[in-house]
Amino acid sequence: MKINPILNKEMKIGARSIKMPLIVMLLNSILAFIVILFFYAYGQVMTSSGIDLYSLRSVVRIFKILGWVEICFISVAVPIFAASSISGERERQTLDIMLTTSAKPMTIIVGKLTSSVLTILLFIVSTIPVLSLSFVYGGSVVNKVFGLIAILMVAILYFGSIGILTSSFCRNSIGSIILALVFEGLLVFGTLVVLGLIALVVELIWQIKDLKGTADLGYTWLLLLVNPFVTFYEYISKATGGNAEILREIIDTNAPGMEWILKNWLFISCGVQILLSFLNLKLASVAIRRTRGQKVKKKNKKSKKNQPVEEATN
Amino acid sequence: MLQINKLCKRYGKFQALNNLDLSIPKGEVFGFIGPNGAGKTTTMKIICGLLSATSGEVYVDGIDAIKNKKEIKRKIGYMPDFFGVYDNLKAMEYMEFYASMYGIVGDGARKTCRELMALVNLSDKEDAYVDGLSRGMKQRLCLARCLVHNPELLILDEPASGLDPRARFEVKEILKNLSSMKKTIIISSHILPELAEMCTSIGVMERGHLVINGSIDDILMNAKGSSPLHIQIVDNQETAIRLLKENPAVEKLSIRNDEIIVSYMGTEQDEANLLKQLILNDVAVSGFVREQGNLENIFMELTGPKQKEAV
Repeated sequence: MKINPILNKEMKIGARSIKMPLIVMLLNSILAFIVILFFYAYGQVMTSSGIDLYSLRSVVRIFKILGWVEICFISVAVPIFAASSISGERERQTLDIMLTTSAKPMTIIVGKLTSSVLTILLFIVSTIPVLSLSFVYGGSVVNKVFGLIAILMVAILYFGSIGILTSSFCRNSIGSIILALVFEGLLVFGTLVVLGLIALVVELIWQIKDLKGTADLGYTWLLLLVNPFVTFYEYISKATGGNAEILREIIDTNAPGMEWILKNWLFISCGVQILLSFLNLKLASVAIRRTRGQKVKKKNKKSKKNQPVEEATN
Repeated sequence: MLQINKLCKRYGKFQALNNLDLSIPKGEVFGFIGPNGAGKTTTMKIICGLLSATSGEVYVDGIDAIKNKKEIKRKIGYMPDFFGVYDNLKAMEYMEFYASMYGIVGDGARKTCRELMALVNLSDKEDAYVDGLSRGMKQRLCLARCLVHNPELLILDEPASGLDPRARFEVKEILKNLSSMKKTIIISSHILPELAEMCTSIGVMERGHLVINGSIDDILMNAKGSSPLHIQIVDNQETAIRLLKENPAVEKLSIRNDEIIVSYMGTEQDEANLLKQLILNDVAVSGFVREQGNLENIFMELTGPKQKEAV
């Protein structure tokens, strides 16, 4: 099997770096500390109140906490890894050499993204034992833990593609990381702020027109499909025994088709985010091409075809 | 091998290349000379497809390099003036990585990389980490990397910059070796005496123009004609100065102790006649020699203040 050369190189370099084991140790230590603290606190409450808190429903709450810690870790770690990948090559002045080889810009981008995704995935997979502690009193460990990893993988791909995109047109890694974090912030908090503002405007119009009932934001809610934290919230709420239609409680609309979308929110939002990730990668490959100057002026394109060289050289 | 027609490159208001015309036949070792900012690296990057041209044409082995970037990539090996290395990557892995970027993998790649490492005298460093190599070794490794896909045209931007004399000598020997393999090589460098030794032809660039271009022998020969004449006088210097001032081929002269330095525009026959005239007029001449033409003088003359005013 032919492995992407960039991925091959990145994996070799990454595996020899001390950073990887250190991050794995740090992440697992934080999660393990949270679990220990959680069980200790529960034990203290149980002793003082005499209520059995170690019921299945209560203990899986730790799964929710650990899940949120992981997605927060991803939202910070992925930009650091992905957003410095291409700009890092540019800083090292190795990008020019890469671009003079036969490798396509998309090969470079896919190699860089895959290596970032796999690195973060390694960190996430390493936390499976700690995550499984949430189900020490029972519950479907395999379904929920692997379901969580699947949702996190979509988030890694999504955040990673944003990092690669900013990395492909930023000259330095710091700028690229900051820009990627800003993009992420816009997706996570920006969508909520925009929705809030739209809700205020619609509410105002509703009041001016003196309409009865509550203002309906209709399809504007679809904006949340691009928000990975909403997707995660939907999954983790369901996985920890929340309402089967958790978003239905928040999203109040009678717009046609929205009922079906809300029922299948998890799959649709994951699909949208994967699609946007591919779009980001395509844009990144165009950005790299522009850097190396594939955009040639029309005047040049009209120039004579393959002029005989030998004639001119002799 | 390389044909450039009316190549222009503009960065905003700055004209980096201005109607550059250049042709380099197959097997030539071409030296690109010019002060910083003259447009050498820009030209090299356009040939490699790393920069777009504002206008003009570039042909590599008859293929339009601007339109067919993909095709010419296999024909060109590029070594930038500065190149970074990866931490935690061994020399052999570095070579194999670039081989795989050209789709060369497996045993074939390993064999090619081994041969190239031997060519640049780095066989004993296959398992050494690249960031631990000396600058000279890194430079040789980068040169080997350029050759991994057996390109016909090598573009080397300052290959010997920052190297100690020993490392420079080693790079020079490798380039001679490559030249004997009939590779067309374009080298930009500031170390002019070395370029004179290595190159078969040179081009001097100044402000985006090619001010002189041709075989190194022709250029040095022409340079010799404009080099000053050094005349050592033992006795009767006044007569010598009078005779020189009367000679129409003498442009100017300066006196340093018993030596007269003359800007003399005459031919070799005129030089002989001048010497004869001095001796016949009882001037005691102990030395009469034309200064050797060298690249440094040509470079200074062509890129000096006078030239800049003309441009």
